Amino acid sequence: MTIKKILLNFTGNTLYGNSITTVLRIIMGSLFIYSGFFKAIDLESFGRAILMYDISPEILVPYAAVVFPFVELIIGLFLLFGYRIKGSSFLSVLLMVFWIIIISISIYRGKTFDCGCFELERFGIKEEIGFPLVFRDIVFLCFLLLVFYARKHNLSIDKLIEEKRLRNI
Amino acid sequence: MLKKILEKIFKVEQEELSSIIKDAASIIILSIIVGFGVNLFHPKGFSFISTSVQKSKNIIYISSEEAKIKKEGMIALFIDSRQADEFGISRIPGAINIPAVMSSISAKKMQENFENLSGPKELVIYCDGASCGSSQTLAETLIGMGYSKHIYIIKNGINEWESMGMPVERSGAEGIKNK
Repeated sequence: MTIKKILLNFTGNTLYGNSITTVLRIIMGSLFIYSGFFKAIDLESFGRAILMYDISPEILVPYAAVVFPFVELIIGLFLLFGYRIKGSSFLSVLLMVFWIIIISISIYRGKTFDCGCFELERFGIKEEIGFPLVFRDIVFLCFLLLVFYARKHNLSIDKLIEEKRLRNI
Repeated sequence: MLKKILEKIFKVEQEELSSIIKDAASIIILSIIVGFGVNLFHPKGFSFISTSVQKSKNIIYISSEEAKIKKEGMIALFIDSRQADEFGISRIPGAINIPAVMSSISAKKMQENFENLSGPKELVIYCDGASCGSSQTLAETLIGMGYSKHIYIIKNGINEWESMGMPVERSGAEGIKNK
């Protein structure tokens, strides 16, 4: 009985926002900054990675390659510092869903190549198109959804702004 | 409509949703501005000049006189971009035939011979005359395959070449008749 109570309390708190969501937010923010930064450094090879997916017309690839890394970078910064968390986590959820879809399409087409997602090969983690990758992205998606649904964010600019607003009232 | 669906999926109120979408949109706009700004000064950035402009930069039109100089200097490889039967009738001596109408077979052949083509010799492409587009098509295809040097096209084609009394190799039925 008590275990159930603790568990419910725990999940309830997580849904409302506690240190777990804060940690998740910071981890996902750092991950987005990291991947956005390395993509932004080498725009050309990221463009080649997009080309491998073979879903957008070739003319659009440079535009996507220029915009995507900075979307990631800015989302990452916003998540990390906790500014406009709702908006940025919403956008990151959409991005994640988009990636899961295009990776699934590539799996369906039977292609394997380096996915150019998070640039984790620098740490020796292979990022080849496959089911583990989809699974990982779904886990990340869940993290981001938790962050999105949370109402309270510790260690965030949003919280500071809200506190200031309440004090002024 | 879309808003209602999003409301249901994300279980947020109307007002909150519009502020979320506003935030998301401003993040995207911000990153578009930053992205294109950075790309402008990026050493490995993209150039957004349309590819046809870039392709035509490497194509130079020359007269038959200039082509003759290249021919006599033995510095150029002449390519006939007309159909094989036209090539069979008459051609500039030493020219090879690559019909510009690209079938998958000729594309494969070209890919195989690409190293030969991109050797030290300059490429001079010709077809019938000024109005035939096949030289241009072939030159653009070659540039698309990664040929980076200048490609020369005889502006008025083999007709002018022939009318100026420069050597033309003949064979086939027509050639025999002419003899």
